[in-house]
Amino acid sequence: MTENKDMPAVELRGIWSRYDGDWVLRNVSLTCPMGSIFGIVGPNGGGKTTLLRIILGLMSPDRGEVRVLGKVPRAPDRNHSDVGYLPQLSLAHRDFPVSALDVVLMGRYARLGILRRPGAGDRARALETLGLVGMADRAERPFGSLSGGEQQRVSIARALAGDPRLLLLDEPSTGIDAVGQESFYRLLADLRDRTGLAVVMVSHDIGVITAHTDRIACLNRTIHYHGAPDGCLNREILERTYGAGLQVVVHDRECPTCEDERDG
Amino acid sequence: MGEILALEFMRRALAAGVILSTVLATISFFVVLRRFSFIGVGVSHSAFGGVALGALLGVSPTAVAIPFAVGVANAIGVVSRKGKIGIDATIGIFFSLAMALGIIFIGLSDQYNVDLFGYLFGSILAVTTGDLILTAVLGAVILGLTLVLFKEFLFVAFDEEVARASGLPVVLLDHLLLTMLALAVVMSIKVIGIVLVSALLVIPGATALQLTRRYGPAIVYSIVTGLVATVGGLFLSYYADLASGATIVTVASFIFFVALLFGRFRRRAHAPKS
Ligand SMILES: Nc1ncnc2c1ncn2[C@@H]1O[C@H](COP(=O)(O)OP(=O)(O)O)[C@@H](O)[C@H]1O
Ligand SMILES: [Mg+2]
Repeated sequence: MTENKDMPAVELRGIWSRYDGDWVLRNVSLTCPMGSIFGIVGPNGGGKTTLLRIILGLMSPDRGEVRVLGKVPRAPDRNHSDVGYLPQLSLAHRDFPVSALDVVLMGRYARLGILRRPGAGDRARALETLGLVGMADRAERPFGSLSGGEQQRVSIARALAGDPRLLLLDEPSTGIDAVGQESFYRLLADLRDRTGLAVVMVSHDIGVITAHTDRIACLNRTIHYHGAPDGCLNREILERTYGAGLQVVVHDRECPTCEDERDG
Repeated sequence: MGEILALEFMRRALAAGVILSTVLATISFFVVLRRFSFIGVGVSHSAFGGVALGALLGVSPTAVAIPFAVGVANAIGVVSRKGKIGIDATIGIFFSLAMALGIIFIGLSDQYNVDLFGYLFGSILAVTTGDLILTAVLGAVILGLTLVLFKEFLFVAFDEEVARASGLPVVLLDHLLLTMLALAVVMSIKVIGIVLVSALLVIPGATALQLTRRYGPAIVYSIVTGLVATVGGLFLSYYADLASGATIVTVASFIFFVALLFGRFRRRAHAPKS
């Protein structure tokens, strides 16, 4: 396959989108290069999940251009094996008869295709990704019996299990404790450096995003900032994104008080 | 026992019962997980319209009920996906409309040679050799599709959004499952009856989920529940001279409640003592 080496992982140009009423996304443009971690911050209802669903091809924008790994995304589509997706946390039906390992194996299905069943290689890869998120010892546990944070880790493992080139994460740190988050973001950085993985990560938590991304965008229906992570930490941009009356608490990259909280 | 099996109609009823309970129980597993239980109720009752239309036109009620039920099942699927009206309201409307049409057709047909009670509640006398062949063919097709698409159906039921995002044709798979559900309903009408067949789309799957949280054993428990209820119910129906659908569903419900108690018990035994 010939491929432009500078092809961005995600490129959005002038996206407009709405469900029934008002525009949820207005003239949104952004570019996420390969091999980088891109953060999108914004308040609840700011259109972050909608933006991810557009990148996934689960919905098409009313106006604008979308390119994901060089193609116009459209689900269902076979080339989705290159994209891993972690949806916003929703707790599973408690009695659903699947184990943590079964769930991670679902992340391999797009690579397998419809008629093939997961084999030994797929199981090994699934177990390996469970190990990456610290859940290897719970592989055989029923998924529904895991805590919210544990389910979130297993879902992250599922998103990684298909060996994606692009990873889309919707509020990935929900329910995960501080120690778990720290090692999760280290894992992302490591995958980015080793495999050239591109990550688009969405969060309403500015502290988390600015500390762990290469570039960010501030989104509240429209893009208020697009650039280096610390650039968004000025009061004017934050107020435009989150509205006035915001209490700004900025986490440093190295955050001594967080360490204290974690230990305490 | 030998006496029963010497009876031609009883052998046919048992053979049909074994096939259709296996098929219904397999589908039941996915119906319960995908939360299609109420669709099963709607589709089975809608089949009444088809049966009655067949009687009015003087053709095989089953032959008319098949497109009728398949059409209604898929229509419910389309309307519920568009999401403007709640799925419960949609089903409520379809199912009462189809029942109402059925009553009108029966009224118009003016013929009472249709065994209405049999269609509604099931009859062991009703299964012909032709029915048995149809049951076997449809059953094989449905079980084959389930086997081939097992992991896809499971993924869609577990997480529709991620299944779509990873490239599965979720809409197509849903309509396929609804079509299989409709076919299973129609092939079960003679033995179990329109009013009661939806119970066998729910009870086996629900029973299995009381007993295990692994899909392999769950499918097995579901099928065992369906088989025990159907075969047990047919014997009971013969000896007590009761409608077969009623005895089958009563046995199935009994198994469900035992499983429910057992499941509670087991969970309590496993829970950490405080
Ligand atoms: N399926 C939907 N139908 C109608 N409106 C929706 C739907 N999903 C989201 N919205 C609306 O779009 C806006 C943005 O939602 P979302 O993208 O989920 O925001 P975020 O993820 O940033 O919290 C919200 O006002 C929400 O009410
Ligand atoms: Mg969201």
